[in-house]
Amino acid sequence: MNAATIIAVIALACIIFFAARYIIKSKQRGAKCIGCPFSDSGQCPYHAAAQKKSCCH
Amino acid sequence: MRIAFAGNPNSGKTTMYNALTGRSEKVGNWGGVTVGSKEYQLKKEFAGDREVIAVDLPGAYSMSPFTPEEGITSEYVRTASPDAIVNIVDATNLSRSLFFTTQLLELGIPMVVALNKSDVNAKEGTEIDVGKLSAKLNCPVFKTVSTEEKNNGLSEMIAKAISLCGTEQKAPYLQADIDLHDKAAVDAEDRKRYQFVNGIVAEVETRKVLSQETNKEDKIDAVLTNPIAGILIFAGVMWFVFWVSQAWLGPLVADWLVGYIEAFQEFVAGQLENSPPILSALLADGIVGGVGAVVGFLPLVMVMYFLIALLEDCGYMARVSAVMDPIFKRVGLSGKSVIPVVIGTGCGIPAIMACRTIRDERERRATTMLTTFIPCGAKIPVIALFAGAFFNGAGWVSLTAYFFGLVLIFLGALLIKVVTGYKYRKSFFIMELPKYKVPSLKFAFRQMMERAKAYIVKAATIILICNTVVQVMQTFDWHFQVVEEGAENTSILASIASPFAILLIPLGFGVWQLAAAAITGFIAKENVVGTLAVVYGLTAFIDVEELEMTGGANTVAMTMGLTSVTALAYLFFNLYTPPCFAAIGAMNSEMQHKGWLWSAIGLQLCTGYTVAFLIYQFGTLFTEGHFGTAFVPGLIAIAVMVVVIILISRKIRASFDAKYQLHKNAQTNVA
Repeated sequence: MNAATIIAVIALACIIFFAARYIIKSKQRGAKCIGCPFSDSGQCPYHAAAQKKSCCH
Repeated sequence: MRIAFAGNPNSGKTTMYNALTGRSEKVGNWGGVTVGSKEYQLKKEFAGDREVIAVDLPGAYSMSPFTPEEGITSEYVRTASPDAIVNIVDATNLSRSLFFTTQLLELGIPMVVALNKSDVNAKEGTEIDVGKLSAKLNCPVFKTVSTEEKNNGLSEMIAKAISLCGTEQKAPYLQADIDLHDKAAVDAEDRKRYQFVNGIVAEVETRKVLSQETNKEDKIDAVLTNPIAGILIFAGVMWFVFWVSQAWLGPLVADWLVGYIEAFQEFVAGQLENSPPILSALLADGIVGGVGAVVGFLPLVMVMYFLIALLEDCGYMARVSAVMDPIFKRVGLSGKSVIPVVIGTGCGIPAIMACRTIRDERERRATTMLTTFIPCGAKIPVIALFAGAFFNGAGWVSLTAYFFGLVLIFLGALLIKVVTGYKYRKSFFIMELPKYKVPSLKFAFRQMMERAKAYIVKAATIILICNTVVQVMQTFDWHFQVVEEGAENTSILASIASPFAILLIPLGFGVWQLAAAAITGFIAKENVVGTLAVVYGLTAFIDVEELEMTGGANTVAMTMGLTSVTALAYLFFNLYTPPCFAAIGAMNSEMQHKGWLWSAIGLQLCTGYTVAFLIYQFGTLFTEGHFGTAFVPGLIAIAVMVVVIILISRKIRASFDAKYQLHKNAQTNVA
C-alpha cells in the first residue's frame, strides 16, 4: 500500500466521520433540517427550537 | 432577568433584538416575519455583568389577538411576567402604535418606550417631544435607530429598562370594567382609547408630511398593487432575478469556481492512480465529483438569494402579497397564504411553518399542502442543470417553473375547495404596506452569506454522505463484489432503482440512473444533481471553456441520453413531486392529521407524475408526431392515483360535513 493510498483512506475516514458526527450532533440538538438556508438566520422554527435548548438558560 | 420586546408588526423589534443580542434572526421590511418568540442573552456591553435575557415577540396591534402570532405576544406579557417590557414604537406612525402601548402599560410591568426609526422621522421633518410624551405615558421614552451601530440610543434605553426592574408601572389610561363578550361595549371602549391616544399625539407630534396627502409612494403603490399591472410587473421582476442568477452573473461566477473544483478532482484522481479503483471512485468521483457538482451551483443560488433579499428589504415583496391576495381568496385560500408562497422561494420548511398564522384550519392545511409547489432554493441547482444542459441556459425555464408552481397552487386549491365543500367563515388578510426604502447592500450580502454557509454545510454533510452511499451502492453488487465495467445493471443501486424506473417509463425517463437520482432527491433536492454526477460520472455541469452553462448537444445531454422533451418532463417531475423528508416532517407537524398528510403526499406525487406524463407524451406528439412510450399504462397509473386520492378525500369530506353541520346547528340555535 503506497503513501497516497494511506493518506486517501485516512482522509476518507475523517471526512465521513466528521460529516456523520455533525449530522448526529445537529439531530441531538433537535434540528430537523441540516443545512436549511434559514437555519442561521433563525427564521426556521425547527432551528429556533434547537437553539433554545443550547442557549444560556 | 427577562426583558420582553413587544410592539406593532414591522416596528423593528427583531432588528433591535439582533443589535442587542448579536443574533442574526430573520428580519424583513414587512410585518409578520417573526411568527414565534425567541430568547437570547443581551450582549455584555448592554447588560454588564448581569444575565439579562431578551425575548423577541411577534408583532401585535393590540392585546386582543386577531391572529395566532398576536396571541403569542399577549399570552406572554400576561402570563410569563417579564421583569420589564421594551415597547418598540414605530416613530413614523405614532397614533397607531400608542394604542398597544397604553394596553401594555395597564399590565403594571415596568416599561420603556423606544421610538424606533427616528432617523426616518428626522428625514421627513416629523418632530416628537420626547419629554412631553414620557410625561403623558408615565414611562421613560427614548429615540432609537436600531440599524445604526453608534449613537443609536440603545444603551441608554436598556440601562433604564434594567434599572426599572422591580418597580411598579402606573397606567396613564385604564380600561373601564366592561363585559369583554359585549362587542358594542368593547368597540366603544376602543374608540375612547383611540381618542386618548390621538389627544397625546396631537400634543407631542409635529408633522411636515401629512398621511392623508397622496405622495409619490401612494402613486407607485397604485401601479404595483394594480391587479393586472402588478402581476405583469411581478413576472418581469422574477424573470430579471432568474435571468441574472441563472443565465448571466451566476454562471459567470460559477464557471470560475467549477474550474477550481475540476482541477482539484483531477489532482485527487491523479494522486490515486496507483491506488485501488474503489478508493479513487469514492474520493475523486463520489465525494469531490458529487459534492463539487452541487457546490458548483452555489454562485447561482447566492445571486438569487441576494436579489430576493434586496426585493424584500425595499418593501416590494409586501406589495406582491397585496396583489396575490384577491386571487388566492378566489380559489379558496387565505390572503395570508401569500406569505408562505413568498417565503417558499428560499426554503419550503419555514414556508410550511409560516402557515400556522392562518386561522382557518382548512385554509391552513390547504396552504401547507400546496406551498412546496414553489421551487425552493434547493431545487435551483436542478433547474439550472437542466436549463443549462438542454435549453442553452435559458432564463425562461426558471420563470416557467416558478409560475407553473403558482398555477399548480391555484389548481390544487380549487380541487381542495371542491373536496372539502363550502366555508362558513370569511378570512381576512391585514397587512401594512411598509415604506419603500433603498435596499441595504450590507443586509442583502449578510443574508446571502448566511444562506451560502448553510448550503455549504448541507453539501458537506447530507449530500456528501448520500453521494458516498450512492457511490458504494453503484460500485458493489449484492455479493459485495466490485461491479465490472459494462455490468452496471447488477449493482445494488441499479437493482433498487430499477423497479421504480419501470414506473417512470410512461414519463420518458425509465432508466435506473434517473430513478435513483429522483429517489435521493427526497433526502435533499440538491441530491438529484449530486447523484446524477455520481451515476453518470459527470462534474462539468458548467462549461469552463465556454464561460457559460453547458448548452445544446453537449456532453451532459449526450451522456444522459435525454431529449429536450424528456429532460423537461424529468425536471418538472422533480420539482412538483413531494418535497424532501424534512419538509414532509414539517407538513406532518403543521397539519396534525394523518389523512391530510397522506392526501398531500398523494396529491403532490400525482401532480408531479401527471405533469411529467403530459409534458412527455404531448411533447413527443408535437415533436415526433406520435405519443411516447407506454401511453396507456401511464394513463392507468394516473387513474389509480386519482382513485386513491378520491377515496382519502371522501373521508376528509365526511369529517368536514360533520363539522359544518355542527356549525349550522349552532347558528340555528342562536337564531
